[in-house]
Amino acid sequence: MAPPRVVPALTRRAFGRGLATTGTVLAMPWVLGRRAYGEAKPGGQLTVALYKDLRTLNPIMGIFGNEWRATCNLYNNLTRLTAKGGVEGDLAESYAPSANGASWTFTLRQGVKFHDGSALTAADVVATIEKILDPATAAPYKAELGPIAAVKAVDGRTVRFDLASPYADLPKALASATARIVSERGIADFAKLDSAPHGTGPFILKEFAPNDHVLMERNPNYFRTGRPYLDRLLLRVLPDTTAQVAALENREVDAIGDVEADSFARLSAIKGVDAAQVVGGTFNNLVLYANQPPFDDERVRMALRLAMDREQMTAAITGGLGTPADDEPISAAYEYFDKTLALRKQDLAKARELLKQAGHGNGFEHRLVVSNSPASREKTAVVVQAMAAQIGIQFKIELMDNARYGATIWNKGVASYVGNYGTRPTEDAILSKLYSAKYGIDEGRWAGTEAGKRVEALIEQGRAVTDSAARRKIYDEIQRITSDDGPFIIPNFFNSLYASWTYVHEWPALAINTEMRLEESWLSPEAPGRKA
Amino acid sequence: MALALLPRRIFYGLVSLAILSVIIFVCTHLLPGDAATAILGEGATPAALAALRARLGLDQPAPLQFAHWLGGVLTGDFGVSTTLNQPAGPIIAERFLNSMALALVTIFCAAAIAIPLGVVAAVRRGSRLDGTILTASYVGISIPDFVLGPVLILLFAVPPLALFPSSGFVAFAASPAGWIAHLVLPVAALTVVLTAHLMRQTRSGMLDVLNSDYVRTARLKGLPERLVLWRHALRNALGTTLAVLALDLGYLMGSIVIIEEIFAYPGLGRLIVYAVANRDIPLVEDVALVIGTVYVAANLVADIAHAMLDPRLARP
Amino acid sequence: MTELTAAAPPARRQRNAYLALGLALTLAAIAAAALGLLYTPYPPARIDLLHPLARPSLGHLLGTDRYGRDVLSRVLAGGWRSLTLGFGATGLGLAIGLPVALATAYYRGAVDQIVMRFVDALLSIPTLVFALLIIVGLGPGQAQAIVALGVAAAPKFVRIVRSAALSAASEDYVTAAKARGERALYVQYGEVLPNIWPPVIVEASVNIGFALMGGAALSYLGLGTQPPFADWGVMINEAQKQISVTFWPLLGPALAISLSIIGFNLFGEGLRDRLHLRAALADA
Repeated sequence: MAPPRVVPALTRRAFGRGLATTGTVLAMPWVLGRRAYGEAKPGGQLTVALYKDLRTLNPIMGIFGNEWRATCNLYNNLTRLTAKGGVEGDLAESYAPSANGASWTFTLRQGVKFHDGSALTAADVVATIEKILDPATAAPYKAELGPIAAVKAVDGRTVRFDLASPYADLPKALASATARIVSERGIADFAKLDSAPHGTGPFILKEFAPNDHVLMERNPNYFRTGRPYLDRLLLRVLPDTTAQVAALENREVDAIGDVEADSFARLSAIKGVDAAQVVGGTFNNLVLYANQPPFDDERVRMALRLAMDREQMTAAITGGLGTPADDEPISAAYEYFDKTLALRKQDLAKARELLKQAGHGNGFEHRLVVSNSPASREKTAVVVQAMAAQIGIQFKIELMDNARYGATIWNKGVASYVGNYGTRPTEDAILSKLYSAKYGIDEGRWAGTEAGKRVEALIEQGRAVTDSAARRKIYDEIQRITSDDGPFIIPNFFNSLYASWTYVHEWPALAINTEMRLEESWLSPEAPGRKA
Repeated sequence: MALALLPRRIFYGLVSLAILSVIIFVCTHLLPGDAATAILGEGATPAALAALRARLGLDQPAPLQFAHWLGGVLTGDFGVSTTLNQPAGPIIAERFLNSMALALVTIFCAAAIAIPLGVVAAVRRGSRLDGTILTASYVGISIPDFVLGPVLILLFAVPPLALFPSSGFVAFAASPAGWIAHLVLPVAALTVVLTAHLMRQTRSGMLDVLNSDYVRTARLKGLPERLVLWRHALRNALGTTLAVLALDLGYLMGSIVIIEEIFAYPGLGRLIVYAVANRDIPLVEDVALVIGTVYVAANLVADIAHAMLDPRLARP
Repeated sequence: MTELTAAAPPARRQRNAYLALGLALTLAAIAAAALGLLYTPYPPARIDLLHPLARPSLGHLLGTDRYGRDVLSRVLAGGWRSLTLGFGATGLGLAIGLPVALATAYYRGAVDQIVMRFVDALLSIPTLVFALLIIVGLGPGQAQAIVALGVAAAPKFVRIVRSAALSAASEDYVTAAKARGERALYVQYGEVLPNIWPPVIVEASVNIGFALMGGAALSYLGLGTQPPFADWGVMINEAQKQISVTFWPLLGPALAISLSIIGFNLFGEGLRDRLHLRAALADA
């Protein structure tokens, strides 16, 4: 039995909040990518199993992880995230803000060609970004790019982003999945972009069957010379976990791009399989509307927080493959994670006392809606329900079809529910989305409270400041306030889980598990994909 | 059914399909949520929803949307899937062929096992053999398919046995051997479910015929028992079996979502469940119509075959 | 998939054994479900996060599930939900199917034609998809699941009851009743119905099993009984996801559902044969 990849030290933020308490060994991404395997050998086919929907290859309209896992191999962004959580140029050679922070200028690499042979120019970048910003496009993740007012081609290889307000995170935001650079021609043929990509990426689309498979071939003209190593890349959708595990064990697939927590133990036990986990920022949030009873009373929200045993909950919800959380969305996967914030301990006596003060001495019943997808939402609901019952808060769970949930419950202000969010490139992206009425959805209807207003102001400040120490101060304060007063119960973060045979080298095990860029990956001679 | 009734039966089939289309459209349309909410997910804002609905034509009146779809289908255009944003025709055509292949191979296997067993059980009714066969058939109908599927995978697709691929699909054109290998486990799971049922139906049908005047007459004529059994009795009993097979074909085309999910088989069942979950009305309509057509056609063929096999029915 | 014809009665010994075994299993399922209403070793929804996925032991005879809940308690408590689903959906299917079938077989003609085209249309929709459309439309809940599976089963009942009623309608006693000038409802329910019970009973008993499976299938699609409660189908579905790690949580609910389905089927067939015999005796 091969143990899961063990990485000796939690170097990044050793023993920060929760990290030491889950009892699991957490692999750090940049360590994973740098094991010495000798010379990379080009060639062969890598087959990767994915879970659930893969509807479209249009990066602007994609909302599912699998869609982004596919498009990051067909396209490039202006920038990309590094394994350490930083950002570097991808299609951009360099970038810099103007002195007053009102704009950013990006200089493009030379000699980059789209798959159709046309050269990358500033006009392509402008066309892509303008398409995303156009309200008629209805791009789902438009808001997360930040306050872009206009985008201009200064010359053939220089692009200027004019901002409505200063935004220090723009380079990181442009690394998000929605902002892959599409050629001008591709944007003109937007309706076909779902199945006919127009990218610069390391692989060229060969075959696409929605919700079944994507086959790609090496892009011989890729701008990073010698990359990718693989000749072919096949992504297969395997919707059942037993079949997924069996397929890996059988070497029908070489890797699993998003392992389900239920199969992780079994995968770790297969000799020759690397099962890797990286601290992620994915979470489920129980929404407690702060503008309506009973959760408009801050004491009731605090009572519920105090009823939670976060370590037990993390173990039950993630199967031990996650980190406890403190009801706020910034995990150790983010740069400005506040490691000094102590994990809130369960205190049932104090919780009951607070409930009594709030006039709910006998507890109360409350409706809690859960969508059937992804399945982790139900786990969160069941465990939260059990914890809350200890202090007399009886949640009545309603499990429903995802589209009904989306149309009638999600962000509608009508009932508590369990939301689900993936790891974002920046703190601001997730904080704005959840707490800001101006930039996001103010999901807990909390922005109107005193604390909410303070956080909204801090979010605004955090966007404008570039100095790292000053930003840390701002984000620390946001984490403290949202953890003490915010409108959510967030019991845990989910680790990003991967599994691959040891003959797959340089597997991109990142905190953001949807950026599955395989241009650096290569196969040892014993890989089945080299024999066929 | 006399063959003279054929045109009328075809007409009835078409009427049913028309009714089916209306029912499916109305049902799907009444569901809460639409393709726009499904496409945008947590990126949905009122403005984005409105813009997307306008782009997808979801803001048009429902009857107009239906008329648009119907007009397309009548001229051979299956429309565009709202959520996949691709022409539905080619997607469905591929899934249809996959489902058909799985269904036909399954039906062949199930029939090859069930019909002989059913005949033997009927001929030796009340014997220990009959009891054993009947008992075994109960096991087949009582195991949920989402237990049977994973168990088959764990038994036959992973080491030490690792006899077959665990899941997925390979086109016949790409590799006939791969195509067969990938079919083995899903076909096995479905055969277990169908055989039990089919076997009991064959047994019932056979018992009916064996007790009929027709067989009694044949015996009275002094024909050898084997000839009576295989030539006269089975031929007539097959009518029942064929009718069941026709129903099974309809079942295999659309109702085996779970087996398709477990074995990652790209068939029509998964496609229609996806389409319902995502409120992709054109896709739901198209797939329902295809499955309905198979159902109607299979029943028609079974009736004709029944009429041709059974001399009692062939006479007007 | 339907039982199309009634088998000729098998040997008496075998027939009685079937009926007895079927009755025993059915009663056992009902008894377990009733017990679950009154007593379970642990509260079925009680979570013990420190002891998840425990193997069977004296403390937990069937082990615990992923949240440390006692599987035996959940099997017992889930029994009532499962049986309500099976019997409820079948009852509803019959309640819709019987009157429609009897009326169409009685009146025939245009009404029959129109109704049967509708029934054919509904039959050509895969049952699971039909049930899915209904439950998604109605929203979550056990009652909704019963309605979904019941309505989805109704067309099949119409088909089967109608064909039985049509052949009964040509029998002498029906013609005689009509000639006597009996009211339509009396002929349908007083004369035809008592003579077509055998296929109806078989179909109903088979359908109880289908409804249980259908409920399980809906839960596979994430639309089952509301957590933290579970019926057997939901339990199997939850346990199935961990089947490569442990099969213990699967064992209890899987046995419960399989044995009940076998019981219903045996009971239905046994009863049909018994009725057949009585009918034969009455004819003689």
